[in-house]
Amino acid sequence: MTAYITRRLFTTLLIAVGISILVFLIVRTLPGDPARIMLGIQADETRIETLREELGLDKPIFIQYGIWLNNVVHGDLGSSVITGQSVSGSILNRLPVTFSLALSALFVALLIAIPAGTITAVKRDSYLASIITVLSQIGVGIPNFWLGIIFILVFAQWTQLFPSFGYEPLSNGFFSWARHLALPALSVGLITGAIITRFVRSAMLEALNQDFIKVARAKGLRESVVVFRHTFKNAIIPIVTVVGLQLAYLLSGVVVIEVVFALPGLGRLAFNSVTRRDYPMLQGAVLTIAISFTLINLLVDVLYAYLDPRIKY
Amino acid sequence: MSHKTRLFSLLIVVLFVGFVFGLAAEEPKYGGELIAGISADPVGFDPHKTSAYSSFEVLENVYNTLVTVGDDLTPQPAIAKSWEVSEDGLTWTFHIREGIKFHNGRTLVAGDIEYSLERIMDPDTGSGAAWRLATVENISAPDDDTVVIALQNPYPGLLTKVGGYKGMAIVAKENVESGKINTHPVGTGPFEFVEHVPGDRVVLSKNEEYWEEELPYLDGINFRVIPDETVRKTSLLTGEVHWIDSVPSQEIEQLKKRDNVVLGESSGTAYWYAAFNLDHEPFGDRRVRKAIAMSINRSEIAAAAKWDAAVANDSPVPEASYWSTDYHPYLGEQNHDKAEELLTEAGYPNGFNAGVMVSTQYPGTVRAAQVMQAQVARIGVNLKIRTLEWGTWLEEQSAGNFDIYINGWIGNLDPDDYFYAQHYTGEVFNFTGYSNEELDELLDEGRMEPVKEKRYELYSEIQKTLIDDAPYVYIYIPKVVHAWRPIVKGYTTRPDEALKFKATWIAS
Repeated sequence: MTAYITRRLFTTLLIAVGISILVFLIVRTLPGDPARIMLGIQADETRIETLREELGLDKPIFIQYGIWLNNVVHGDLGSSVITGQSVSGSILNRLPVTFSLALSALFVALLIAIPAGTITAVKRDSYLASIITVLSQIGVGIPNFWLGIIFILVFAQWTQLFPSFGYEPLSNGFFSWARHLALPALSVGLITGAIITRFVRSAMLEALNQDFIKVARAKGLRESVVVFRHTFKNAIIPIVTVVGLQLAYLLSGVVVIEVVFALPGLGRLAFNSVTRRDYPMLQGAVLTIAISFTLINLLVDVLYAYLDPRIKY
Repeated sequence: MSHKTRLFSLLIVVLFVGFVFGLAAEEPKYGGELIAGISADPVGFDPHKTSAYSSFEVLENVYNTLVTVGDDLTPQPAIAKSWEVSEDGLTWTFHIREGIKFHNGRTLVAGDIEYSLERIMDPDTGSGAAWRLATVENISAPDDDTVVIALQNPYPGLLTKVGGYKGMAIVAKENVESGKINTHPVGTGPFEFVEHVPGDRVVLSKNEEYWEEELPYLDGINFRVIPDETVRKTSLLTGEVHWIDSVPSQEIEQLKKRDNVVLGESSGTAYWYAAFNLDHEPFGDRRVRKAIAMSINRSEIAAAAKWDAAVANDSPVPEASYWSTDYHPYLGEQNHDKAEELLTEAGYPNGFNAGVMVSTQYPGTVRAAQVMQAQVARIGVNLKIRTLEWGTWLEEQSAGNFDIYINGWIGNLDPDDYFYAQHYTGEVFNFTGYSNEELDELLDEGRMEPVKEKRYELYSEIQKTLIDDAPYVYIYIPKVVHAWRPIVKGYTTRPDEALKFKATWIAS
């Protein structure tokens, strides 16, 4: 197991380097440059050139990459070419926001998806199951930012139960943190929940059709034991897979939700860096996202072995 | 000229809805933190380097300039308490107010002004505001209380150039040299910079030693970044913020009806226009440009771009300005027959194809282009809209890769701001490639003419020439619209969009 994890961590490193090269090339082949954007519409060419030199943008691209990689290896992600803020500092400031949103949204999603998916599989022909199926269909179809706006209208403007925007760090108290996260977490969580519900349902259905379930029922076990101990345990592998994927997606920053609720998360950082051509900041943000993606995949794979003793690495 | 007499200055009527409560006489109250919702995260705080409006929303309250412009946009004393101009108009002497302190406790001296203005002019700084000092020969500080600016040519517009924009801020040398100015600016303004949580907030606190007596009233300002316009408006309605920097244009009318919101409107100092590339066929031909200028309906375009938040105009100068004229050949009925005649004369009886370049950065321009496309189709001109992301748009503009583009010029105070950089032969911002010797002479004269009435004549002639020659087709002048809670007092929405909170206070 340890050898496996070490090997996977090493591949993560390789993937990160690969991604960084890719991002470096893609970003720099985009038209537009940070010097021009920074100086604005009223800047003249000589000033733009001066700034380009100052930022090192006049050097050949592979030399720029070399400089960047060398700095990264020494633990320095550089600083924003636009605002001068340190890249690693900015990312560290935004990670708690992104983590808070991702984990609370996933919490909401699982709270819905596990029971809802299970009910639709076990009581396939009931009214409840039909209602849940319809709702989850709708949930998969509506965009989360729309839901966000509706929630703001209902829960912030009309009833004034929750704040309409902003993030409060956990260090300012759990209640204020949770209140600020409630609406964004619900907007993202309900929709993620709808997606996961469908996977839980199909995984449960497949497990319910296995011979060992028939045996369990033939043994006269109680239905709850059949469902939770035998079926769910066997359905969990595909569920963990899709939950892992969803978490990775949430951690990469739900940009639109971050914009709607004015949350200073990683997605908005990456998005703003693209529009400002803030190369170092974008490199750093994308690298962070890529690494968290691969780490979550690793976590999921390790979980497999823990959940299913038949899986060995 | 009789209509001019009532317009003494660039003063533009500022409209207060909800002012009926007659609270003007109320005594200002000290204390409290103003929570201001702003639409974008500031992009750096070095006033000499950034060009982002979001940065200046904050910096306006952190820095001072040598002189300033009042609510009526005329020059007023600031760091300089008084000034004189030599008879030849070439030497300006400014007397510095005593006892002004930077937020780090150091007393401001004349050398700080010399340092700041020279830093802006230094090409190594890369300041986007350097052109404002283009006529400056030399700046010196003979003693701690005096600054002398020597000019190459007489230039009466100097005061608004150094005072009308916070990009001309007087900075502390030690703040620049420590490398902290872009993340932690130190100024002499009514509020001190406390912290910036990127993407979330900027916090300012009261400058206890501010030089303007009794100001500021607030203990501090908390700028919250709220990018979505609907959410920004909602947060004002719920009272989570006290003040917001813009409201969705389509909701202005509706917001006016609410009694828990005060709307501040002012006609702006910006103008939006379509520019032709004179090096691209057929726009080198004046008749073609005129044909387009007379075939578009500016009110329709303005309504599409900004709903109620813009005024259609075929001149760049707002009607209320001292510098406006009566010459409006394109504002009446569209003259499609005459336009088609002009196109036929120019050799395009069946019209032609061309591209119009707009940016997603300004969604209003995208809508403007769509309406314009439909309007000019009537005279056989087939426009293809090219919608680019901002960085790309800027590249294409400076490379001259466009037939027509739509954009705006903001912050025009002196009449020179409207025309010189845009249309003088060979100027870096003359993206159209327009060149007219007679106009160049008028522009030079206008810059140097000290007598206001004579200047007015010159700029009337300049406007007439440009409207007739139509390198730009002027379309609309946007209004500045802010909104706040009724408890916010002492705030005025200014035409130059400067957010000055020094005299703002919060009623209990």
